[in-house]
Amino acid sequence: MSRCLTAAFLLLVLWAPGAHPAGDRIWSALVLATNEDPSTPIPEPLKKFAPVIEKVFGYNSLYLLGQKKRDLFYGSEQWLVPSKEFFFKVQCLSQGPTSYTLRIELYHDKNLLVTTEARLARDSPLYIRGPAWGKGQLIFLLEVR
Amino acid sequence: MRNFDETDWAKTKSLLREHLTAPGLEHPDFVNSRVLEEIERQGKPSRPAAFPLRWLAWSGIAALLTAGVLTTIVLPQQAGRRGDTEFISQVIAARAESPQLSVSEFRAPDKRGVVIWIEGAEYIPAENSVR
Repeated sequence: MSRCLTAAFLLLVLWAPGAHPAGDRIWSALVLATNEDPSTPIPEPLKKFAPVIEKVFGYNSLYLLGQKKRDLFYGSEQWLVPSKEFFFKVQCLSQGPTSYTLRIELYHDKNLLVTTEARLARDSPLYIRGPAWGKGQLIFLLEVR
Repeated sequence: MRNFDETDWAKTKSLLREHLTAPGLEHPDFVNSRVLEEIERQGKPSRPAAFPLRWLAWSGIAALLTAGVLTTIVLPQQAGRRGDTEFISQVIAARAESPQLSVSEFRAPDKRGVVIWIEGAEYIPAENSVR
């Protein structure tokens, strides 16, 4: 009896999952950044990105044009379509304890604009400066959550 | 005084011997066997518990050590201390898929994010929908 319990205990310890990121998702957003006086309130999902966008791209007002979230796991291939015009193909090449290595393709309509291979860590976003639209600039955001 | 007590006590003892007798048992063999059983039971060492606390503690320590050793052997990259860079995104490679586009990448000023800067993308008029 006691031997069985010992074996079960050891199996449980050995089987216990490690510090592997599980259930992570990739979030993508299409943002229009403009300069307005006075600046417009920042939408809630973009609040944490606003300081970097202002510093890097020089815009004080943000509009969330679209967003999409997909599950992320090793071997997955997802289409992220934050808008009808712009979308991403995201392929998960490898999965590490703290990050995912992804091949990301950015499409405008049916045209492939950029291919990138990036290691994305959780809560460490990727900003992509897209084309100018109207009076503003399109910015793409990708983040593992 | 003492002599009086001793003689008194001797008298009492002789009187008790004469008049006080042990009561007879109805089933002496049965009582005797029960008494012997009880003596035998108390003489035996107590049975150890199935999981003594000390044994459990040692097995826990051994299991943790085993887990640590196995982690180091099987997953060496996870056993070591992780650097801060492992928690920050990084662009490994980026290329433009059109000749009029150029791409550069740099770290965001907050040191958390990373930026891909596409230059040369065609302007989209406001009347064209991008949603």
